[in-house]
Amino acid sequence: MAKLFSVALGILTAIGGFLDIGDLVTNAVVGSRFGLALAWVVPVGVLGICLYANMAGRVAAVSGRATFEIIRERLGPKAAASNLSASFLINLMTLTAEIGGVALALQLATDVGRMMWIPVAAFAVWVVVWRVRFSIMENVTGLIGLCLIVFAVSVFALHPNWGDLIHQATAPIIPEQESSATYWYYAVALFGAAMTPYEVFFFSSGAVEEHWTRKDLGTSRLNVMIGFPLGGILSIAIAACATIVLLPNQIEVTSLSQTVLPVVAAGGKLALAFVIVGIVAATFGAALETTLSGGYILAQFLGWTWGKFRRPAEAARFHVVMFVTIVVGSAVLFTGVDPILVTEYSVVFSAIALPLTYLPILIVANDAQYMGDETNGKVMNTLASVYLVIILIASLSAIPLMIVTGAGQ
Amino acid sequence: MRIRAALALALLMIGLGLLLTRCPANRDGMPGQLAQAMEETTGAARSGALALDLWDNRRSSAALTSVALSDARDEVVKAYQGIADLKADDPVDIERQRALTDSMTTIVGQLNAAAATVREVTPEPDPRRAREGLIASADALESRYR
Repeated sequence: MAKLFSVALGILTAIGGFLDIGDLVTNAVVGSRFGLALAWVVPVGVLGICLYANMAGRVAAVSGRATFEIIRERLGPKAAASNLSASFLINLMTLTAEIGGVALALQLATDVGRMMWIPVAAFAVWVVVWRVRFSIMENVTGLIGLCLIVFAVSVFALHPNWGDLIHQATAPIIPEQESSATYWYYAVALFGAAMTPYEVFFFSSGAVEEHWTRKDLGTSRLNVMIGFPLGGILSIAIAACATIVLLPNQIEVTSLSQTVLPVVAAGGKLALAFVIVGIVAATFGAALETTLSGGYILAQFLGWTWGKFRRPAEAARFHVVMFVTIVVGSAVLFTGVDPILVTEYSVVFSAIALPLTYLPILIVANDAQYMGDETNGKVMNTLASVYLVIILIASLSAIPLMIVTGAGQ
Repeated sequence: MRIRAALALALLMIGLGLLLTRCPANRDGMPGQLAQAMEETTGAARSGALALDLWDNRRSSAALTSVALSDARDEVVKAYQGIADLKADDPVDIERQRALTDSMTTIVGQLNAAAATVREVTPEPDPRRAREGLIASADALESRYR
């Protein structure tokens, strides 16, 4: 019974924790501009993150060490340093977007300007990272994040033309007013949003935090293989809501307030309450994860003691790094930069850095010295290699597409 | 080895240069930038109208409506700043730019007035009229522009 409860809790947490500000914004933007013509990217991204998160979790459970520790040992400090620099910067950008997302969601609830909420959100992130136990932190934000199921409920409540929606998703057509370059730019952005690197670092380091062993592999596999795809369905629901309400009104999403309008149209004030709570939980949870990921990768690279399972005094440098990243992220937001813009850039830059994150994981998962009999099999390697090619294509095409489209204009 | 690196760098710079000529500001010129600003403005006006409609039907909160109207206004202001400084040579572009800036000013005024009503600062305009005004402005801008 306890095992079943643990599995169910893990799956629910994975669903609620899957979405972050990148998914919320990118899916709404895509839905309002392309309908469901880009819905196919979500399953592609979800399958990719399932593969690699599962691999990273397995590495951590079998070796008892987080991915980045092994990357440095296996690839050497030079290669690992380039990996670290790219991952750390993308992570910082994502953290900035998430803190901005919390502030924007609180603004929707109160009509108090986002600048007032930024320090509150940043302080709350720091306090939780400092004081709250890892499992409580992860489960509470993940479970409250389930309020975002309201997007899926709204799709039904809006009584859409299902045939039309299915047709848009299965036979994608680029709308007349959009170019094919913009279409592919947003395909890369959606892919980057689904496969954000911090998720893998967090998943792998979290496995060490929770002292996973080989016995936990089954549970972790279920969490990933069921939780993430269900989270992906919520991503498509966000795009579907925008497709049903905003696209016919010729409203292109440029702010978070527009993302929630379809939910309000479907379910009124009750749905609004759910969606705001869900967005706060999802962005706050992702802010915690990105803060921890920044601390994890730097500490693991430099060989510092790390982990929330240790008292802060025992992992002082790890906690200082997290504190500094929160301050830097907040300082960036205080320049007045639009958090939605930061989000849009962060998902594209995530796509650019993807090979640096995922190739080392594949290399380590194939090293029998670390993995023993849990080394990747043929099927896993074939799938992972196919994904590596997709990741490489997305990464190489991201900057040219960004220039040609003026960042998706 | 050095020659190869220099050649690769040169090719990269040429590629980047060619790519930059394809960025929307260079590729589409002023007409493209004006059309982009027009779309952003009409989209923002319609977004404000939708938020007002939901509030008028008691489906939305005053806080969300107010934020949605502010966001719409900020979007129009951003579009305005993007085209206000453009120097047109073509008389058609000059006329379009003038029409666009006029409409933007009107729409910003309408959004501000509607926000004041939602915040209960002023009783007028009533939400229905404000909503209709925004949609009419967006439609008028689109038809004038074309």
